[in-house]
Amino acid sequence: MRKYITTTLAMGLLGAFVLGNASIAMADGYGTAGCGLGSLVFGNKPGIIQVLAATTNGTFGSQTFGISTGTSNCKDTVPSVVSAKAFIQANREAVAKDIARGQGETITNLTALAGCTSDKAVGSELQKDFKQIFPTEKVSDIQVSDSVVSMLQAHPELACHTLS
Amino acid sequence: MHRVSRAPRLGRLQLPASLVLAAIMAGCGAQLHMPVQDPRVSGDAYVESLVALAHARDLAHSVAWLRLGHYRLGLLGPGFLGDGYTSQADGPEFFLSARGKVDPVAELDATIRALFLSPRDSRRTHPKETAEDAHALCRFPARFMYLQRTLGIDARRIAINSCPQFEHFYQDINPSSVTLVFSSYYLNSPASAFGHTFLRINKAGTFAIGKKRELLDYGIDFSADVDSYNAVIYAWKGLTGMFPATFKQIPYYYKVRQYNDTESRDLWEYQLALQPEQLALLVAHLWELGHTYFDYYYLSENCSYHILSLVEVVVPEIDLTSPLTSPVLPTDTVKALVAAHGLVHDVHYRPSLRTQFRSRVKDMSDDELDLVEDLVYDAETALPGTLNDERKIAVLDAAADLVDMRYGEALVMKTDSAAAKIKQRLLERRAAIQQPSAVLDIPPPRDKAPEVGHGSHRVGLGGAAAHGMFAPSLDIRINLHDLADPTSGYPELNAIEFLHARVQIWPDGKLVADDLGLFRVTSLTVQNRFDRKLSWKLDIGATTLDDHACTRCFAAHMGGGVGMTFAPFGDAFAFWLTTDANAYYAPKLAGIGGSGTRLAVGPAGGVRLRIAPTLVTLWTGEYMFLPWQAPKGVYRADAILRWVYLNNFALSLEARALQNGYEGQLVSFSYF
Repeated sequence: MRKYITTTLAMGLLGAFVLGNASIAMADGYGTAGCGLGSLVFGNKPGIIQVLAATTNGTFGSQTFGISTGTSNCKDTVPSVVSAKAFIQANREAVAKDIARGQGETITNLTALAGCTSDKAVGSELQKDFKQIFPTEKVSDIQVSDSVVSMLQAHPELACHTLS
Repeated sequence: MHRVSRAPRLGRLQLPASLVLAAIMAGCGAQLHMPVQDPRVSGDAYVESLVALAHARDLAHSVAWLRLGHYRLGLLGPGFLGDGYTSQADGPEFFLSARGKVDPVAELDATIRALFLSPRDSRRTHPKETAEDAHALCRFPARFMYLQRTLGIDARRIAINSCPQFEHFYQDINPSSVTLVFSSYYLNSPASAFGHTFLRINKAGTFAIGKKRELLDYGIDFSADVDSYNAVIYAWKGLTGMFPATFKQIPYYYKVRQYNDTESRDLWEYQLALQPEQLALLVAHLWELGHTYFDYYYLSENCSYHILSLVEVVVPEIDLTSPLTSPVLPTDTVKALVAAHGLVHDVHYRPSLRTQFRSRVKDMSDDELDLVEDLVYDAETALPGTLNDERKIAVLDAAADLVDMRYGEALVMKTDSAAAKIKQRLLERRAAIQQPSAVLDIPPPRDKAPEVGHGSHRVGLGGAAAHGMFAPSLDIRINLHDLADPTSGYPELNAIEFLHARVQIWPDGKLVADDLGLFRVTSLTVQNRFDRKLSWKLDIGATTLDDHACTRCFAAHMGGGVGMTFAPFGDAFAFWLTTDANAYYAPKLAGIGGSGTRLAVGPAGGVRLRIAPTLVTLWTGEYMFLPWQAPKGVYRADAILRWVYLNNFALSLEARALQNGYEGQLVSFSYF
C-alpha cells in the first residue's frame, strides 16, 4: 500500500508540473481567463487585454482594470469621442466585419456610444464608406477609429450627439 | 429549493450592553479589549448607543453582517480566536478593527465608530484618496447601508456628505440589473477546461438608442495576480493560496472578444432578479471588495466561488456558498444560482464565433459550401451569376467568419499579413453589396445549458469479475465527466476527469487500486471541411497492467495522443484514431533494461455511439509497441455500456481485455 501512496504522490507532483506548464504555454498568447489555474492573470499580462493594449498603441496600455481607488481608469463605456474610438480600436476585427455587413452588435453599441439615433442608418452609412475607412488591411486601429468617427460626424442626419 | 440559512448562535461570553457602555464611558474601553489601532471609542453618547443597540441585537452575528465581512466559521469552531470566525478577505485595508479579520463583533463596533469620525481622522490607504474618500462611509458604503437599515442611523450626524470616488464609480457602472455569465468548457487549455464565471452589471438605459448594447456593460471578474512564470511555483502557489486575487472591472466587449471570438466559447447569461436596493448594495459592496484582496485557492476560493460570495451578500435569505464543496467548479455555482428559487429570472445564450459560423453554413448547398472554402484561399474567387444577392451575402459572410475562426488570433496580433489581406478583400466584396445582412437567429441549445448537466461528483458501487474470482469495487471521481456519462449539459465529445479512483477488494483480502486518474482530458474535434482541428488526449495517473512483463500490477502512468475524429452521420456516432505515447512505472515491472519503467508507443482508437440521450456505449482500444522491451507489444481494449435510468443515476456495464485475461464490471453510479 505504501508503494501506491508514494507512486500517487510522485504522480501528483508530476501532474502539477504538467498542468502548470500547459497553463504557462497558454498564457503566452490568449486565454489566460478561465476558472482555476487559468484565471490567474499573469502579472501584467492579462491575455487579450494586453494584446489589444499593444495593438492600440497604448490607448489601454496605461490602464488597469482594478476597482480600487485611483486605479480605476476604465471608463470606456460612457458616451464620448474617446470612448467611441477606444471601442472601435478594441473591437476592430469585429467592427470591420459588421461595417461590411451593414449591421451587427458592434454597430448597435457604437451607435449608442456615439449618441446617434438609428443603428440601421449608421450601419448603412458605414457600409457605403467601407473603402474609405479600410482602404487596405494595413491601416492601423487608430486610423480606423479616427475615420469612423469623422464619417459619423460628417453626416448630421445620423445625429450622433456625443461626437458633435 | 429555497434554502434559508440561520445565523449561527453561539454561546459566547458577552458583556451586557449596559456594562460595556459603562466601561466605555469610564474611558477604559480601549484598553480593555481593543487594540490601539482601532478607532477611538467615541465620547459621543449617540454613537455608543448605536454600538450598544448593535450588541443587544447581536447584529455582528447576523447573516447579513457575516457575509458583508466574508466571515466563515473556522475549523476550530466557536470560542477560538474571536468566536471561531475568520474573514476570507486577506487585505488589511478591508478591516477597520485590528481584530477585524477574526472578530465580526470588533469589526462591527469599529465600523459604527469610524462612521462618525471626522474626515481628518480617516486613515488613507491610497495616495490619491481625498480625506473624504478615505472616510469609513466612502470606503464601506455597503456596510453603511446595512447599518442604516438595521440601526436607523441618523445620517445628519455623519461628518461628510459626499464620496467623490465612490460616486464616480457608481455613476460609471450605473446599474440596472446583474447577470452571471458562464463561459463554457475550454478543453484546449487545461487550465480553463472547467469553464469560468463572472458577473456583468447591466447599465441603466442612458443611451439614446433603445436597443441592447451589452458590450458597453461592465464585466466583473475575480482573478489572481500572478507573479511567477515558473511552472512548479505557479502550480504550487495556485493550489495553496499564495497568489493574491482581486476583483476587476472590464468592459464586457473585451470578454466577448476573448471568449466568443478568440476562444470560440459559448456564453450562458443568467440575469438575476434583484430589487433596486439589492442592486445598489451589490455595487456598493463591490466597491468595498475592490479595495482589498483574497488569497486565491485554485480548488476552493477561486473565481467562481467569490463571484457567488459577492452575490450572496445581497440575498441573505439564500445560502449559495455553504453547500459548495471543494473543488468549486463554475458549473456548481451556476447550479446553485439556478436552484435558488426565483433568483434567476432570465437565461440568455450568446453563441460563439464557431457556433455562428455553423449556423451560417447549416443550410447551404454543396456548391455554396465549396465557394466558402475557396474564398478563404482565394478571396477573388468569382461568385457565379446564378447566385442572387442574398446568397452572395450568405457565402461572403460565412467566408469572413471562417477567416476569423482560423486566423482570428493572428489578425488581432497582426502577425499574418496574408490572412489580413484575404479578410480585407472579402469584406470589400461584401460591402459592395449595399444591403444589411440578415440577423442570425440561433436558438439556445437548452440541453447543453450547464445547469442541466449531471452532478459534478460521482460515486459508484459495483462488482468486478476476473480470473474466476469476484470482487466488490468502489469508484470515486471528484470531477467531472467522461465520454460515457450522460451528455446533457456537457460537450458531446469532450471528457475531463480530475481525481478518479477505483478500488477492488479481492477474495484474498487484498485491497487493490485498479485505476487512478489524477487528470484526464480527451478533446475530440470532429473533422469536417472547415474544422481541421486535431483531437488529443492526456492522461496522468496510475492504472493496472496485466501482461507478460507484469502480472496484475498497478503502474504509474503518463501518456497522451494526437489524432483525428470522424462523425460522418452526426455527433451521435463518432470514431477516432490517435497515435499514443505512454510511460509506465511499477517496481515489479520488467521494463527497459530491467528497470521498472516501460515506454510504449502505438495506435489507439475509439468508437462512441449515443443510442439515446440516456444510453451511451463507448469502445476503446490500443496496441502499444514496447521498443527494446519484452514483450514486443501489448494491447488493451475497453467496452462500456452506460444507462441513465434516473436523473443522476446510471448503471455501467464494463469489460476490459488485457494480455493476461479479461475483466468484467458492473457499477452503479450516482452523480451529485
